[in-house]
Amino acid sequence: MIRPGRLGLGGVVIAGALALSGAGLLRGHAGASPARAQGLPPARLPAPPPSGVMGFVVENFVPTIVPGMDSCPHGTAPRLREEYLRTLTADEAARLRRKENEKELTNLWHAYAFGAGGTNICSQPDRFQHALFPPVESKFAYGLDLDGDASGGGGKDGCAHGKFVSPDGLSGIDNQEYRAMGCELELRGNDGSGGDSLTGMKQFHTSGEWTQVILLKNVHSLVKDDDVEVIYANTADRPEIDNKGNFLRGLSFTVADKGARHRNVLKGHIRDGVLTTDPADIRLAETWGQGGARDIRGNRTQYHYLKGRLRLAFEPDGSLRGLVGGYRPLFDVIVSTSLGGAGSALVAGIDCSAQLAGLRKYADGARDPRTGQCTAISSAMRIEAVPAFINDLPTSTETALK
Amino acid sequence: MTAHRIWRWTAALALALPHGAWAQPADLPIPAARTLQFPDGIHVARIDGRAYYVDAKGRLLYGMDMRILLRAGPDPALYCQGDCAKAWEPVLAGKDAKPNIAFPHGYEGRSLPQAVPAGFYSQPQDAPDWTIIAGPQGPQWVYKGWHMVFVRRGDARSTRYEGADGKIWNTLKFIAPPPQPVAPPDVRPIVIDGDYVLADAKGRVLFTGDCGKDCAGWRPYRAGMAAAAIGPWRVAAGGDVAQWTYQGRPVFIADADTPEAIPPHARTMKP
Amino acid sequence: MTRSGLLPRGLVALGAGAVLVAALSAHGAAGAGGDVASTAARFAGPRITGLRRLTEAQYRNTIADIFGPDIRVAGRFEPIVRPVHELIASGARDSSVSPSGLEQLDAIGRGVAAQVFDDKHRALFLPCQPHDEAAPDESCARAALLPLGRYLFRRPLTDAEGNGYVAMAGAAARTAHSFDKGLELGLAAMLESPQFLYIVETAQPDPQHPGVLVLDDYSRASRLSYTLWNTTPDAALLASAASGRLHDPAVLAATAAKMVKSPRFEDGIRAFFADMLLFERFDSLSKDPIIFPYFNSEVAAAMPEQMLRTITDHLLTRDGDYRQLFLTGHTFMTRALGGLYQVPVHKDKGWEPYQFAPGADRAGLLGQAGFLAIYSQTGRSSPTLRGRAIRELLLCQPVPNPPGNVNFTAVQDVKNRAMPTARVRLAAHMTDENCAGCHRLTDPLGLSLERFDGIGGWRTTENGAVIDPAGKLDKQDFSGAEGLGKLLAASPDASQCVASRALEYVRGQPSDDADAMVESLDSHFAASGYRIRALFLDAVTQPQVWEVKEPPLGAPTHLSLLER
Repeated sequence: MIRPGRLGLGGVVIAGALALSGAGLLRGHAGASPARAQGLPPARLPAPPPSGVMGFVVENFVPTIVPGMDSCPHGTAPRLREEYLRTLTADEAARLRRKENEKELTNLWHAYAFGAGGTNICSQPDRFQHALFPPVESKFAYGLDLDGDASGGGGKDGCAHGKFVSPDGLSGIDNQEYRAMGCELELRGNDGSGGDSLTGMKQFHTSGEWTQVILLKNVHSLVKDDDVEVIYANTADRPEIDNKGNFLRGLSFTVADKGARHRNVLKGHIRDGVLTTDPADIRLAETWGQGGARDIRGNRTQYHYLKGRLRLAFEPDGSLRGLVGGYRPLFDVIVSTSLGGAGSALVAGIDCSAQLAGLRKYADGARDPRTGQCTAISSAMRIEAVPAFINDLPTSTETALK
Repeated sequence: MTAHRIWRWTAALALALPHGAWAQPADLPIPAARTLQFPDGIHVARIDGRAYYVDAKGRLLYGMDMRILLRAGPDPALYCQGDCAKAWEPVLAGKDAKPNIAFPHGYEGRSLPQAVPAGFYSQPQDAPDWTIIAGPQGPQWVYKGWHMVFVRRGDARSTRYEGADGKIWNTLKFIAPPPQPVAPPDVRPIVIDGDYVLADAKGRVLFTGDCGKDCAGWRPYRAGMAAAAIGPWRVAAGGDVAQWTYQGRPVFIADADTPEAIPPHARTMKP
Repeated sequence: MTRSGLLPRGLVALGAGAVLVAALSAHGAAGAGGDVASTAARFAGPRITGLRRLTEAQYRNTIADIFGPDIRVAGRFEPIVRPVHELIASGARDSSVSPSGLEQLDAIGRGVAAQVFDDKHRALFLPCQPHDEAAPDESCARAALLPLGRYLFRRPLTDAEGNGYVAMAGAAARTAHSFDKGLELGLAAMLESPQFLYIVETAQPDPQHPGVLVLDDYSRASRLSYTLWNTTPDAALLASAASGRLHDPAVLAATAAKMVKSPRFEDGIRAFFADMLLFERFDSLSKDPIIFPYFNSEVAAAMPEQMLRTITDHLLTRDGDYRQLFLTGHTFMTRALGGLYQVPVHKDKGWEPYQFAPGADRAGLLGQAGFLAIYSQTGRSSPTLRGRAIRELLLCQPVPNPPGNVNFTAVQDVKNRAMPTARVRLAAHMTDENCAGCHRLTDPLGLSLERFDGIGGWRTTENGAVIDPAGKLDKQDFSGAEGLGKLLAASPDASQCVASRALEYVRGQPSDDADAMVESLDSHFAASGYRIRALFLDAVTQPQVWEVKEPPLGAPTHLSLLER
């Protein structure tokens, strides 16, 4: 009988793990440390199951932010209305801000979203030259050291960039997407504690729109193992949640092998309770489900990580916690907003053009040898996964035992 | 548009369609054709075992998926100019043809010079199979609302550009419209492996055959014992349950809509 | 005398449920529509000796069999009340229909009738074309309705009945200017008739045994079919009844033997065990979602199905020993149940076989979530309910109800760290001598299942304290579900209990007066290796089960709507 749940360590140990996670951040909070910098001591790591197979369903897959407004001393990126007013003289801006001129202002800033021939800043962001937003100015960010180059020089196929330090002490962190987008209201929120993107991502995962699973095979030790097969994939199966919104553990999922779902096979290494994978192309479904006439319900969007990799820590309660990182093609970052077209600009006040310009400026990966421009940007997402039974393929009888 | 009576031929063709012929674009399922009336010159041909639309010269038709091209400009119908037009030849509807569809606009539509004219199909997904759009070189055919029709210059029957350029290009595949067989009310055709077969209203596949000694999975397709015959279907009440027969052969029902659900030695039923 | 007529909605004026019983006539006697009251008083031929209301499942199966499974039966059925310590099959014999229940049946019947004669199905059930689609056509209506009536009433319609329904269809067709609407109403009236809603058992004197009444052939056909297949007699059974051959013990035995070998016997076994194990409790099953997050509507629906699949797989597919039903590790899983059991499930939809690992303590029925959940409280397990269920349902040992003034405080205080386990709490509760007597019967059994929580999820501790699965059945100590299963499998009471229930199920009355038959059945059951097919075949072929000893119902007080 396979019993669910913990890897054999008690609640006291959970508290200890939280202490390791740094800076008083609570688990599940927007800014919670996505992974321990160091694994658990070997003595506290349990043995893996005899089958060597472990399964997990990803409960959280959200952008990483270091919370607080210190990172964005100029505040969050302005809405399009404010951005338009900044293009005006102070007097004209003041005039338009007056209540009696609200309609005129609305017409003007709406017009600011459009260009010649009916183009608009979100459907055709390349056609506009709007000012960049201020980037994240803090030296702290979560992420992975993707290029292994402490200098930030970019190497042979990257571009020069700044390095971050993670709040739990890891250096050499590459996360230029965070630098470019980390002050967006959707990401940071009004008070710096996290914006709609974070809660929205949880909802998408819960709804089963793009649920991810992780299947580990050939695991012989959680202390040291250099030959772990990692299958990081989407599933079409919907998770069940408890009344607090937490995923139920011990449910079964099947890796989807059809349509736009994805199955990534990675080579993993375990050191002291931390799993890392070798760089590889990682593609995962990004189903925004906007459902508009022009949208194909996300079948054309995806999370694509060039040189992507995982760093996940085995937690005492049986879960996995950490990051997926890699270089994302620039337009991928804003594709969902772009799919929203002018509505993204007029309703949400988002300036996709400015976002794309920022991404281009800070791009640090996949340098085009012809132009010398980088076409991808370093990125990381926080992952929390709970034990589950994972069926690798519909025709397979293989099942992950937690 | 001229009527092309090819039903008999396409029905035979459908039998040979292999699994996987239904992806259009490359990663999305394609619905069956709604009509067997095609634009002048366009007909269906079999290429490498699959049924495709081709032009009068037998050149394979491609669709340019306008949904993918919005980033390039506010009207993706005008995308294929310059280098694109050198590689791709539009299938034109004639210079006097009147467009009846346009790429749908959202919020941005308010800034366009003119709204969608009356009589246009405003929702491409609801459009008939063949409509006409204002293309860069004149009125041009569109297939199923989204796919502007082209042929690849110099590649008469090649499918090598399937999914090319970020899935902009897709070959136009043909699935015959569903037949309407005379059958019990719960019976309808579904497509499996490129072929229409009969199923019940829940999509569970019907089949016939002889199970021999291993009859596991051979569940009778049940009829009401008071029901009368309909067409070639009869009710056999001699067994434990009243069971439909088709042309004298007992009919059974699988528990799913996939080929794997059918037991060995069973035969699906063609409408 | 009740007169028929059309309500403004086009309904048949059946009136209140009380009319139902009174509306029955002994079809063999009063078929000509004569003076029924006086006829019944002096009649020496077939007479009504019992009425058994169709259960919801039987109603649904009957409609599917007659009209096809695509005809939807939509509506709520008034449940048949279970007599204390008896089967619903016994309750069906005394079950009336309330006015609101009749309204429901009226709506359900009209819904069925509307589908049968809708555009999609009309061709299947209309063997002729009316002269005028907007007017009555007696001949065509007769051709359509009489064959349906034969299936619905499980016997040929009498002339009076046939004429009545045809006339009713004609009247409705005139009113509605639609021949089809007339047929629809005629059929709806049949579906609301007590002749359909009740299995009407008629008996006649046994020529071999003067003074003894035995069920007639059509009643035998219905009893065989509803007992063994939980549905209406099929064409072959009706033909056998029509030919009078079901009186021949050899023919009856051959017929029954064929029926228990049929895949359709599974429907009968499902219905029997659902009745025996009080599956109506699933209809009102609710659990605290905070305490039991794995319980949801999918799990609730899967629980009884898992038990029935386990039962039919073991007893029929594997032709297993009934006693091993308390020990088998074979079962079936769905994705939703897999979470509750914390086991892998491969198929994303539907059911798949599952074998519990040795030592899992998921022994047979007793380790199944359904059994454990319906014999628990909303927010906690209940050793007492579980123990009582084992005594009463599996061993046929009734346990008295608790007195009305019991103080349950100690048992319900599940968060009390001083009394962390149910064993400790029940021990405190049993200091009340008023309670101790019964709890000594139930709790030692139920406490062995305490490692299963209130929905059957596995646990080893409660409030931090290790759960002790020790149990005691009479004087025998055991541990856990598996230990309990072994004792039940070895208990002669368990096999005799199911034999007794089978007999009750067949006859529709408790077996209290049939000790000899029960002992005979149990003996034969043992000889067969405790095979369920053998038990039911034996039960339906005992000559005594076809005898009717109770006095027949009184003479009808008035005729149904069909008398004009």
